[in-house]
Amino acid sequence: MSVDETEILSLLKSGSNDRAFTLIVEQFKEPLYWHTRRMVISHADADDVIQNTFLKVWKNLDKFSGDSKLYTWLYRIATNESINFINKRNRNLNESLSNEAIQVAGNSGGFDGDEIQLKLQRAILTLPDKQRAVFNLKYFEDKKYDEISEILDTSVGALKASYHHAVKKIKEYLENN
Amino acid sequence: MNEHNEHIDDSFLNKDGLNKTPFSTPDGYFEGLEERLNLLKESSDDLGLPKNTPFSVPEGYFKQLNADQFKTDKSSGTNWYFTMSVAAIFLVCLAIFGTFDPQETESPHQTASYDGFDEPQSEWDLDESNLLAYIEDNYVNELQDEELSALLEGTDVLQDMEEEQTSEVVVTVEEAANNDDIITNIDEEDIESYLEEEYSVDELIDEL
Repeated sequence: MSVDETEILSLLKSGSNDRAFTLIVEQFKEPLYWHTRRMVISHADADDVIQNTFLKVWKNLDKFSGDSKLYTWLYRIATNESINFINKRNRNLNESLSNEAIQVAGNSGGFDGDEIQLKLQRAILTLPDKQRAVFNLKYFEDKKYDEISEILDTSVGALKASYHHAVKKIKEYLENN
Repeated sequence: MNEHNEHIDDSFLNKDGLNKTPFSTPDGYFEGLEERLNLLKESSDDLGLPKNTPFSVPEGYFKQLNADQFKTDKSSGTNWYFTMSVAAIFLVCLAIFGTFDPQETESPHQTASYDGFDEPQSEWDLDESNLLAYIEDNYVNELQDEELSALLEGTDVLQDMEEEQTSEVVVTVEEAANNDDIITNIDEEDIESYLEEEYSVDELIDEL
């Protein structure tokens, strides 16, 4: 099901939030899930984050001003929820998510990739959270810098630098492992 | 720039007199800079690695992920906020107007079914009759226990108590001596029991 974003926006303007939200979930549940999944790796965690994301969207739908694009607003919520989840988990477990997620990525049944993909995911997990978000959005989702800039509320210059550092670190990881 | 700073800067000048910084860079840093600048200009940076996702989801996951499950939570969220607000207001009122005492919240039925004197709520709740009952049930027993433990432990607590009571007896007997009827009707045991009761009541009231 593919819905034009303008249709959702017009529904929101006319006060049909219920219908608009249904369309949002239908339209964006998969891309947002995959974006989240790349951030937190395990399906169970991604499911938690996506639930929180849509709950937040539903509760704040009235407050969506329309200043930014709808999908960047959604991605921003999902990214923030992912980073919050990772930070919270790191605090609770007193260990980095990376260590655990690397094991999950390699051991769980939810990973269908080959050895190269596993190695790449492990390399990505060594990145800081925000850098990881930049890399995932740029590399896997082919988002433009100005789109990522809106999602992460960061300047395009900073994003370019961040992405460059991410690529460099991943290359180094792949060369040394 | 003062003389001191000039001295420091001069100490780091190289042969060309261009390098004024005390910091160093990793080997080959400037050589790779052009490449990196080009990299930044590019809209994408292909690592030559697969871009497809290596993760899978349980079958039917996206089908069960529908909007309705989130819509219902909005109203429950509102109720939760409402409940929490009411609770917060209640606690603030409680903090302002009084302290919370679980016994005060007991229903009349619970109070009625309870014998009522083990833990009196306050001295204002004790009238003459239940005060005496309380003394009988508790304080006199306490005294007996104290006497008993004193005897068992071989201390002079009991002796001290007797001396204290005797001094009270002298005063009381002197007072009683003014009335012939009373003095003739009082024997030593009566005086002791009377004083014990008097003493107990005073002590208890002080305690309360």
